[in-house]
Amino acid sequence: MKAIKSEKLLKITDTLENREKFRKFIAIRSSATGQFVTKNGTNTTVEFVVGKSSAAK
Amino acid sequence: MLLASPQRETALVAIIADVANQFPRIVLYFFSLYIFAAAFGSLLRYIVVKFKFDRNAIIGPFVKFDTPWYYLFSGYHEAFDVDGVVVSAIVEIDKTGYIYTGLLKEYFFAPDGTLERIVIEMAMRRPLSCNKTSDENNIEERFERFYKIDGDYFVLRYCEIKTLNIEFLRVQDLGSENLP
Repeated sequence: MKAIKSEKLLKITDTLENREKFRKFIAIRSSATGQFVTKNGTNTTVEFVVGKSSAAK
Repeated sequence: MLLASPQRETALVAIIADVANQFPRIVLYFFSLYIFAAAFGSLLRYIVVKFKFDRNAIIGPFVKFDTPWYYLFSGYHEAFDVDGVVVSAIVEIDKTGYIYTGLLKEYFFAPDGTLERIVIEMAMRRPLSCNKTSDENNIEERFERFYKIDGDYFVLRYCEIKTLNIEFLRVQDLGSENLP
């Protein structure tokens, strides 16, 4: 089953440069690393939202 | 009565002949039944998801799907729109714990409905012991703890995962910059 990946997120992870930046963002979780520019020049910001869920096996 | 009748053999021959003559209609009947059942089930599922009936306090328990992983990974019960899902999984390799993290792309179920494997992209790994230091401003140091896993997708089998952390992402457009 496909996981959720919105069009907005797809546009961000569409470029190689942004994918590398996205890795850094996932690793660091800092708002400073969550700023991206899409291929068509749109500034976007990605953030981890409150309401996290964790499940122990 | 027909089975008990002395003329049953004659009658049965006629009946069997009729059934043979109507064979295409009988096949069409069963085929249409399967198609209708599949279509109706899909339609009901679409209606439940579209109108979020499974969130309803009264009818929700009756129409809610038995797919806890779907609800978990989709952030269905969260009060916001989810743009993406980041997972972090603890896996033990040679008695050493590692955290694998990445953007969740896909997940698969075993025939019995349990989670079988997850597929992540932009995957990275770090030893469990390499936790964040107190220096929150040292971004590069925090990033160096991770080893980048080359490749487009990374598959993790659920049976090898010790614990699984799920986080939701939200994307906000800030507007377009002026391009030269």
